[in-house]
Amino acid sequence: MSMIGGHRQNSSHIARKKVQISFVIRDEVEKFHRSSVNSLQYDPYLHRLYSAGRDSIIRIWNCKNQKDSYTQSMEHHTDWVNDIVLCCGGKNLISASSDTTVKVWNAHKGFCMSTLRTHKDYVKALAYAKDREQVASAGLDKAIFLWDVQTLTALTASNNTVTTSSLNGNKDSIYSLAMNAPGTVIVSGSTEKVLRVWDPRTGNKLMKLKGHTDNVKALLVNRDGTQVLSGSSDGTIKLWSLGQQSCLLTIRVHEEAVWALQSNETFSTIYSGGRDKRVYVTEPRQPDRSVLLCEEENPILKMFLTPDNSSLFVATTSSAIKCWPVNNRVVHSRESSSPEEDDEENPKPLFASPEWTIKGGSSIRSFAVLNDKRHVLTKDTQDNVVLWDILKAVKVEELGKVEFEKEKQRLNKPVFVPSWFTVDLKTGMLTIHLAEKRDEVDCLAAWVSAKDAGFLSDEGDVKVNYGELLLKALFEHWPRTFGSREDEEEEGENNEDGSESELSQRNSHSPRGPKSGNKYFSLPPHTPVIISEVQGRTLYRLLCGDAGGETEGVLLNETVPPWVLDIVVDKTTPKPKNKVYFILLPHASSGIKREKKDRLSANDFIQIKKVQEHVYEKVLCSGSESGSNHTEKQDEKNDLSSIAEDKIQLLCNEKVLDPQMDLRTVQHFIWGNGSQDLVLHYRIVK
Amino acid sequence: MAAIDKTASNSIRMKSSRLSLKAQKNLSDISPAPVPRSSHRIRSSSAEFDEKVKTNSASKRGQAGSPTVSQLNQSQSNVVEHKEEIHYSLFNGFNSSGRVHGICPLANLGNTCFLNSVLYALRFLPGFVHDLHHMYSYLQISSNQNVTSSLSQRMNFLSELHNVFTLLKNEECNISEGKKIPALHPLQFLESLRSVNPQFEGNKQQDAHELLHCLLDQLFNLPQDYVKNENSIEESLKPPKSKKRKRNMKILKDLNSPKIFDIVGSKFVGQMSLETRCVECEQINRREENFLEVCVPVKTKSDLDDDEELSDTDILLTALCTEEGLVGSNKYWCDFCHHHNEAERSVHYRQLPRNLLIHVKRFSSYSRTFATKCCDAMPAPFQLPCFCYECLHQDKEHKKGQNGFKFENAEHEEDLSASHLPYFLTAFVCHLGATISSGHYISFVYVNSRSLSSCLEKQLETEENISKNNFECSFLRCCSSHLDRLLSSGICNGKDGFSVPIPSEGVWLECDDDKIKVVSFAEDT
Repeated sequence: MSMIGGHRQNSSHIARKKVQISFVIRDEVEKFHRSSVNSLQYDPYLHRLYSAGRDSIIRIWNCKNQKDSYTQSMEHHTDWVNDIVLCCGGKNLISASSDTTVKVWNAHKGFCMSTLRTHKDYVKALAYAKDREQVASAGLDKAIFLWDVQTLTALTASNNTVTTSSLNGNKDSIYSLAMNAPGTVIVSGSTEKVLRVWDPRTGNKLMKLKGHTDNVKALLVNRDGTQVLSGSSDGTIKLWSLGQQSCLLTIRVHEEAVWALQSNETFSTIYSGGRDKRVYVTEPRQPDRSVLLCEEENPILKMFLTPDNSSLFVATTSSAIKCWPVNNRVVHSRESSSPEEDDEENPKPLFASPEWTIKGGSSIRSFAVLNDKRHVLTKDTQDNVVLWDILKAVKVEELGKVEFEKEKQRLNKPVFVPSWFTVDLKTGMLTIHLAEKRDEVDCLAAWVSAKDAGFLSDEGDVKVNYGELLLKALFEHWPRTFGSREDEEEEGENNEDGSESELSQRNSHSPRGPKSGNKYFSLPPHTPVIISEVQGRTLYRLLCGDAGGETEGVLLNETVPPWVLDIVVDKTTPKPKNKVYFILLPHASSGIKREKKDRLSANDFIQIKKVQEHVYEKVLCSGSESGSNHTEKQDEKNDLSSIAEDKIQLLCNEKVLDPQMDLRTVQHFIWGNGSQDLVLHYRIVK
Repeated sequence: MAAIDKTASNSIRMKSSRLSLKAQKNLSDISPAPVPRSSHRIRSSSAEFDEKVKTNSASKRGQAGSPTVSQLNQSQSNVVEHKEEIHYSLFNGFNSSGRVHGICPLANLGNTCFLNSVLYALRFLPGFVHDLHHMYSYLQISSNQNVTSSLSQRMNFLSELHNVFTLLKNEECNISEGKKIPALHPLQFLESLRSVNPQFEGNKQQDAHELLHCLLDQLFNLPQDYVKNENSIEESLKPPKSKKRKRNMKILKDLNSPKIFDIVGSKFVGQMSLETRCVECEQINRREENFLEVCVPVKTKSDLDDDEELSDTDILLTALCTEEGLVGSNKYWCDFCHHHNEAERSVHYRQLPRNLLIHVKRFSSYSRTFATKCCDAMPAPFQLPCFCYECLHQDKEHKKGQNGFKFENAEHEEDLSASHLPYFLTAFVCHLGATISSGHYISFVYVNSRSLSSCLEKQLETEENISKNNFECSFLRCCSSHLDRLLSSGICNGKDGFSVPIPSEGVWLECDDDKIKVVSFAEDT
């Protein structure tokens, strides 16, 4: 027995691991699954289907309205939702996810009631004992936890601990779990290849069942807890007797791994599906006479047989869910079909097309970050190419079914900007991670001139940091970022210029404090923001626009990492870190003799015109200007740069450089050798 | 060669140790393969033997020589191990007794036990010195002045290595009864080693494992680089003149059709495929690689499932074919799922080399600076069945067959069985001491009188009894170790003057720098 934190997680471990900020670029309402569907549940009273997607969303479908069945999304997970069970007569739903949490939902209204963070790794499977309203969860951390549903649904923010009992003994990651309705037997299937059986009432180990030669991903227990059905990646289905502790029957009908099983209460008809994309119906009385019910286009992940045994919902690695007719109709057609017609190799499925299909959306399968490190080009499962603006978290343009590589070449400009974010496609949607330093990507590394980024500014040549702008925009609704009153005034002055119009426009749709976020843009308020350990657990998820709420504020205080606080609360401007080292030499044609070899360094975003100024001022006119004082200098500045631009020409590898180009671009595209110092030659234009 | 380098460095990176090395084969009698297949093996290896005499293509494993059953079953293994396990598998069975006086020992030149232990192991690796001799003499004949300095340095390395074996043999030949052979100082070899690889400079402690790799790499690359060099020279000096030159050309052509010269590539390099299967989508990602050695983790009985009784061989096999789960924080990035998932990583051996190097990973480094040695005993069986993918797979098929599945591979098996002979342990190098940077190396070698393999140079088989052989391969006169004489003249006397009976099947020697002792089986443990 262990005490665990319920609704709120314990903040003690936040400090230990690196924490990153992520966000998802998506539509406000995502009506269709964006990726594979991992699990299904059906509410026969309301005729609702619940589907758990790898896009992190659980969707509710109204089966009475097959034309427009989408009802609602249940969004709170941040990674694949692996399994769901409907309990309390359809009132509550429990979900298990690869974000390591188990969540309790109000199924009717579709909101998340609490989050259980007891598991230490992906939670892969749930089991439900209806008579006792007990749920078990298990996953890759090898642990099985038993939960009392009544307790879970009574959790509140203040009463947030729950007692659980755990079943130990598994040596390997658990991929499947099953419990009978009275809750007398629980069985787990794992990569250990054995089934382990416990009595959930006492926590006692009952037995191990050996026989499978690969992972077990599908399990069923009959009502009285005497028989177990298991489907394994070794391609077999086994029927076990718990009383005899032995395998009664092995069904070899699938050519590949069996991933999904359904059956009626008495195990007299077994539906199986798996990697070979086929659904077979087998009666254990005649195990050799399996019937091919239907053939899907993708490997089958999960099936759900409606309680009246009339329909079978099938979920696959595609995003669509199909409903196939079953039962009496199956038996019928089987008896009518003559065995001679059966072609052993290519049997014809009983049904060529499903009763109805819940349409799925496309998932993004590949991406390319463009050179400007701001735009990302993606291609989805339907070959649609889309251009996204990461900085503003929006879709820029749907390009249709065009050639990805060509489009990438067309859009890529010869500029070089350091990488500052990483892209993740695990949900089929664009998830962007920002981290202090992850895989050598530092989210504060990219400085660009505001002009290049398309932001108007009167202050002349202003540089902006992409990471800083984005972080500020992500947390702009969080009151803690609003800043103190003096700050506002101060900043307000600076602000009364070109960006004024944009600012007021922004304020019209968000009730933010007068000075928060960045002065250039806001993000769509429906953007999910995720605070998580790098490659680890999710600490908190909220929508960008909800950060103003009280609870949200408390949780943000607990979870936002210090490196982000520095930027969004303390308004610390990040320091440019990337330098370019270069050597300035007179060009051979210039006729200038200079003994000294100048090895210089500058921030990587410095433009060539600045170097021209430097050459003009420090190299060519050195000494002559030593007398001028500061104010004069300021006035001369603009003149100087235009004079310098006119008079001085810089070359790299014999190529004349554009004054607007920055040093890192020269280094990458013209010099082309990252390990050696860049060499620039100057000459005077006549 | 790139592949080899890679394998080697990977294995080191893999976190464990670098120390000890190898052992190898023996020729004699340990009996053939498991029952159901032994008859196939013998038959097909004889067939192969016959062919070999005609074609030059040479068998991968069967020993030519007089085709006795025992010889045909020989294949060889270098088992690289660490010392602790030796304590277990050997010291339980052997007692060390007197010094051996018939073998010329190598003197320690100051922290050179790493060098001596590897030289001992290679010297008694059946066939190695012989192959080296031919490689050396061919390159010697064809050498000319036009080599680059680095190449000549490496040629010098080869020649010094050869020289060590020649000197050892000379010493052994000149021995007068009862006299002790003075230890040889392999100073020149050490210097040539340092010139090709500066890593070994200074009188520091060195890693025997790295030395072995360096040595084999040199031997692997040298002939190829040599050919390259020759070809480029040939282009520059168009008309070849002398007869000798022509002869050289012919030899060099032979070089291209390797075997004789590619003594490392043809005998030490195997092929494996690394498979990673995502547990989620069950897609398999396969990568083929060449390997020079197999790195195995230390496995003991206690690591394995308790329910079954496992032999030493089974345990080693488990270690060799270990399946690794990528789990926890070490999950696998599945390109297909776009997700970090658990995965199973397994190794299959497509082709095993004639000489197998096994590196037991006893050192695990938790950080760069700190390494710990695992001192659990690891079983080291004297004989190891072929564990290539095919053999293991057939076993499985066979089992399935008993369950009612079809078993169709019998014919196939017969064709290939010659290359699936078992390995015999012939030498191992042990590291004594607790840390990676200190300690001592000794090697244990297996010696018997029939350690001569067929000579491909003249395509003549030499008889196992050297003295009766009329068509002597030049190797015999040059650097072959006179082991028959050593053993038959009973030189293995202990200090006390009692004589150690020489087992007819050969003998294990413990070589600790200039001290060479016979290891004998104790009656009981």
